[in-house]
Amino acid sequence: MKKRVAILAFAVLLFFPAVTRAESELEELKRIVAQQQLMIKELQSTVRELVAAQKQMESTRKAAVPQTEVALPPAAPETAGTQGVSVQQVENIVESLERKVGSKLLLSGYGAASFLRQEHDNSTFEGNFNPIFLYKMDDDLQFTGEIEVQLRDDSADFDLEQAAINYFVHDNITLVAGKFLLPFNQFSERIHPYWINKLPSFAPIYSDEQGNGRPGLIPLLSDAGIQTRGGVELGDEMRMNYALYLVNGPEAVSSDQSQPTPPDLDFGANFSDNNMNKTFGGRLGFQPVADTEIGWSGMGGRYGDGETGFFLWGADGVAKSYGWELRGEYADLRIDSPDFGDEHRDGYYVQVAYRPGLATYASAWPLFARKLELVARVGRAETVDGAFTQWSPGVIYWLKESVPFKLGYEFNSADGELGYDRFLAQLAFGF
Amino acid sequence: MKGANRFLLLFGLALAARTGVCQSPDGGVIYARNCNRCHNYRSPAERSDRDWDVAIGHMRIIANLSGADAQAVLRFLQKKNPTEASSVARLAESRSPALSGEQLVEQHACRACHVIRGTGGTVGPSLDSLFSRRDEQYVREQISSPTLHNPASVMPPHAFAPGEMDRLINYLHSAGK
Repeated sequence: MKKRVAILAFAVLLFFPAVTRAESELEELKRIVAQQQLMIKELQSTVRELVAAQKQMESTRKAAVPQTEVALPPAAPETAGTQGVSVQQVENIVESLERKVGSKLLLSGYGAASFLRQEHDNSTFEGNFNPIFLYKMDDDLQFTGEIEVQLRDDSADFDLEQAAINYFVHDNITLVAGKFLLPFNQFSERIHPYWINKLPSFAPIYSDEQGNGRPGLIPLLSDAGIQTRGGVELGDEMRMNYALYLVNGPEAVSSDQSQPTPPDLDFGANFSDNNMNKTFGGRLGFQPVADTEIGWSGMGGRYGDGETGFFLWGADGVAKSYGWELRGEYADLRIDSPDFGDEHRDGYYVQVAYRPGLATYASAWPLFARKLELVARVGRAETVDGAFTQWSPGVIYWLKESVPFKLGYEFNSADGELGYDRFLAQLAFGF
Repeated sequence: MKGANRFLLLFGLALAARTGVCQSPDGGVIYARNCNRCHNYRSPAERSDRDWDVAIGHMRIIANLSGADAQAVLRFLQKKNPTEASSVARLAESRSPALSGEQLVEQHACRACHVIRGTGGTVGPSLDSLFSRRDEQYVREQISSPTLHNPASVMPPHAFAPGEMDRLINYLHSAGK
């Protein structure tokens, strides 16, 4: 009984704002209609002036050169003072001016050309391309598809990063179905694109596939399933956002069974679930003031043979002001295996960036200086191959606001290959 | 299950509460406060109005914007898009009654990105004491053609009816005193 009351109360509270919102939207529509009527009157006035000017030119031309009489069509009704231009014709002009050129399909995406040089290894050039297909069926329904193309060795690897249908159910609720980037922290879903990430390499928590690759605590997370998400206004400036999802979950990476450790998780490879267990997760974000967000993420389930459990949780934050950006994340992974016992790994990174050219005092600086941005990142991650600590300075030159040229150097401390330093240069573009 | 019930109730209360608290969002302000969280600001001139309509749907999902916030940002981008020269809205604005400098600042949402008389956003430089740094000719050029001085500028160009630019400049002069 209590459960039914709670669900009923939730349903009432859920739709109450929708009703109130509908009333305010009706008022907004009335305002827009009144504005459009004013525009039509303005255009009628303009058309009258143009017709008068045309007649003046015609009279001048006729006076200069004799013309054969031509019968003019009779004036249309309801056109007093407009000399043959009806209200309907003016509305047609308005409609043609308002008609926008373009389709509902938008090709967006990003790409990059990179150069890597790792200690004790050959240097290499690489190329990546991620087209994003956005199709808007109507105001409530939109499709998102993203393909990842990477040059690797002597071939191009293709991966389906996203293929999801998005249904805008409510002002604050969007339903997503298909394959999508998981909203775990911020880097995996929003920051990893090359033109957004301020260093050429991925943050230490996340595996980086450039060059010979560098393992991380977890890879970028993408999986197939269903999701509900949205944003909520808590005040004029304050916002909250949420995401909840149910996905296939990770598979178990084949491992040496003689090693006393549970098999590692392979996120994103489980396009058809190999066990009866799904993974449930979510993220809650809070934006107290402009350009600031803090969030908490979590996901858990069983993987492999369905007997080994895992729980991954994280915290993230970003704050920007006057050209400064402070960003950081923490991730914690716990695995519970009946055969191998428990395992715990974690990782973090903190990144600071400063673009002095955005400050008021720099408005008179040369253009070149205003496009430079300095970046520094420190981090640590425990991977299946061991733990490493990293600090990475970098500099960006913004050719355009979505086209950065980045230079970065990683000072890595660890045993073995994880400890090799790396130099990276990258020209990225977002469109 | 009790915990789930409480969560649902609190969530519903949060959704209901914000309706009474929030005013209709100003698109320029929403743009200034949200569209720099992950990436740099994108200029309204980058896409056509119709393409912005599709792109904002994608951003509503990724940036977790509410529907109202997303529509407000879309209206702002379409209104400030200088490539859509046939917009009837701009034609109507150019024939509107003479607006004061302060009204022009409000109409063009200057405070979304600039501090004027102590309040505003930080996307662009503060306009208080502007004329201690720049002469009037530079300011007129910057307002009507921002990419003239900085090709990478995301500031949209602004067109004014006769006399409006003069009133705006006079207002900005007084803002620095």
